[in-house]
Amino acid sequence: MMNQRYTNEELVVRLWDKEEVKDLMCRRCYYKQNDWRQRELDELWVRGAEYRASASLANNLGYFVGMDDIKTYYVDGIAGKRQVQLEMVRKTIPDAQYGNSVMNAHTYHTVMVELSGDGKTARYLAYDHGHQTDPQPDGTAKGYWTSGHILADLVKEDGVWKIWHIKSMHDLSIPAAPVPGAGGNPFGGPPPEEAGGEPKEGGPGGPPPQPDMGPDPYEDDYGTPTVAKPYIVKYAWNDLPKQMPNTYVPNETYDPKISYGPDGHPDPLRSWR
Amino acid sequence: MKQKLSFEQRLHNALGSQQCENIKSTHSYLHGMMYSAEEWDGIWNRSKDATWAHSFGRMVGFDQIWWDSVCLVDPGAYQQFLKAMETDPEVARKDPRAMGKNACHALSSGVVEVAEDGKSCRSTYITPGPFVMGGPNSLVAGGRILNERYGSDFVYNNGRWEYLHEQVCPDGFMDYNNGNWAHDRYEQAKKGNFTQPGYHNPPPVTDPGPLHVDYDVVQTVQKTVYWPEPYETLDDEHSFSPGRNNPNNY
Amino acid sequence: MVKRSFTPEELLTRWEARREIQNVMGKMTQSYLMMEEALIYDRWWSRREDVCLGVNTGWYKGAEAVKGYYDALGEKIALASRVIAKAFPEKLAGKTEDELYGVGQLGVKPADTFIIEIAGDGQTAKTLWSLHGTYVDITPSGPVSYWDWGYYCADFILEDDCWKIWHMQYLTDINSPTGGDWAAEPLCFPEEPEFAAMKDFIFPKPNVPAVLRENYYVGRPFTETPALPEPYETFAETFSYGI
Repeated sequence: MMNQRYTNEELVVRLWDKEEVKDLMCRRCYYKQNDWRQRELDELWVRGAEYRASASLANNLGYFVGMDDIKTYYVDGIAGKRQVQLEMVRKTIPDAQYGNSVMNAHTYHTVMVELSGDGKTARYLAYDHGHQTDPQPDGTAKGYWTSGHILADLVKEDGVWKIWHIKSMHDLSIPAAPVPGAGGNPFGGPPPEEAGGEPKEGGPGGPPPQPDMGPDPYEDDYGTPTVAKPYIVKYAWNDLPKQMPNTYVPNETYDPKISYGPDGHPDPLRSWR
Repeated sequence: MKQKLSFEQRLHNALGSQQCENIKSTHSYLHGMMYSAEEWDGIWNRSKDATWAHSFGRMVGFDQIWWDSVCLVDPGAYQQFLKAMETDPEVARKDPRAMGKNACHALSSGVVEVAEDGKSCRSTYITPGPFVMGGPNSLVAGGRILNERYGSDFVYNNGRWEYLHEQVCPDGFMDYNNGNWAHDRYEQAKKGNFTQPGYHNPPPVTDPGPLHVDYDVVQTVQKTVYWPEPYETLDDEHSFSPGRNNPNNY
Repeated sequence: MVKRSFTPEELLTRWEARREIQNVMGKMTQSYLMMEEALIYDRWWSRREDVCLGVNTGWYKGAEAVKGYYDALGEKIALASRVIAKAFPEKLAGKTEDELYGVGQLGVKPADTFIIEIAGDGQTAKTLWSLHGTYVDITPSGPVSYWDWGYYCADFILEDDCWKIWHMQYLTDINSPTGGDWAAEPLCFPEEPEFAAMKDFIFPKPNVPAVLRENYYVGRPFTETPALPEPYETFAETFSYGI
């Protein structure tokens, strides 16, 4: 007997379930890139009424809860943004169609999957490293590098894995174009004179200087969540350790308190450990 | 090779492969937020054959890894934390080590092989990681990418998979948007400035480096961590740390 | 298509196939770090005649064309290595041609975010991956680093119990110099006499020209990702990533 709890047949199912979870989340990543947002909600998210009521999608400001609120934010919100962009582009390209001059890419890597002991739910963590390009009012466009982590609860409904909760915690936007006053020393330059010193801001191995850049343009997309519980970027990954899927021993069953829905949001007053 | 294994052995190896992927990602996140103690306490084998290598050389034995990676690293994080407290008292409720860091050592292009004997696993990955420190906002002026490769060995010990060896091969730590990293390097080379091997302020290690050097126009190809092929057992021929593969030690 | 159910033995075999396909893609993409591009065809491509490789500007159709593509990558590396060795004799003198091969060059072309669909009959697989990389091109202006963002899409086929690449597309949305915005004019660098030989290198063009994808430009129509693999029973009932 390989495992005292599960039969070999059950272990194979658990092995494959983790792959199905990864596959589902990668599909979600591509659906989002393609602006197939309604299709994503229809095909990849939970179907059962009990799950749809508690489904949630979070950004840095908080949680959109229930499929109606999720749709209003995630589907209608992007449609409105694309319409504004299209009108802007049509000033220089009159016959432009949906999404002209827009580009976005996401990648989900550095994946962790925790399948619950009872096999009914799974917790997922990945890092999203991507880029976005949006048209500007003057007929140009601007590109940004984007990054953040993705946390998700998934549930097996009628034998098929579905998305129940997603948190997209945006860490950074970085302009693709140079920013005057920013940047470290040229890559690979000579080492600092004071051997043994700590990496200096702007020096090799140190963080680049950070002139005040003002608000992130993608914060405009956050909307007004159903439950306002923010992810505060300046504290970086301080809350991530408490939220990571378990490496060795899975939780036995789904628990809202450790979920990636609003009930599992880290308590900001008790964020030490 | 897999044809001669039983169903149960193949299943053990498949589960091990999946578990080592999870361990590798666990390392990536914990390392990214400087949770060194949790990382080495949680997922590492504690033997004298445990090794961790970077450009500057190879730490040998769990005690040396712990000293170099926890004891010598934590004070810097606490110093940054105290500086941050001067301007933002709110940080007092936060963990000092994770403050202001988004050091994602992303994992892509993984190659994972579990030994035929089911007692070890080897992997190589590439990281194209976004790596930024500090800043109160999510819009930052000059982020950096970390291009590295990783070679990792894991062992199955007392019913669980553990990290035994890690070798980090840095190819470059470049700005996202400040200059063209290859051409900048070329301009430096024309002036006679070449990439310096090693590391400023390296920790004490048993096997000093340099073991791998950042990109330079005169740098020849480095095959420091070559991907694993199917193999029978962890030994000096199939390891990222030859000479530290004695199963009696772990 | 409704996914059929599999026995535990079949599921485990399918998991092993999935892992092996990941390993092949991992090794293929890590080859660019090792400057072993010239070996990719021999190592991981099918020996079939109907293999094909698609890039933004068209198809390399047939075994000879695909092999020619990878051979050309190797020839360019060799030429660039000789050029760099001449430009920096004080650092590189005395090294053999083998030691110099790949000097000053680096390709970080990782693949992840993968969807892998193995056919119900277990003989083929369809895969889609994201590419987010950066690489050094040795140009007439010297070394220039580029972003390389896009997709790998590949059909795999089981041959002699090994998974081999049958059709592949290597498509980019961004292939522009690092340090500048891909939505603006790309960075340019003056030509360097020491690197003039790179002007003479002509990379073989696709033998079936076609626009498979365009890199980003202001005014580019909204461009979806390549088609996602969907469950299928036999290759005849799904689409192909080749022609």
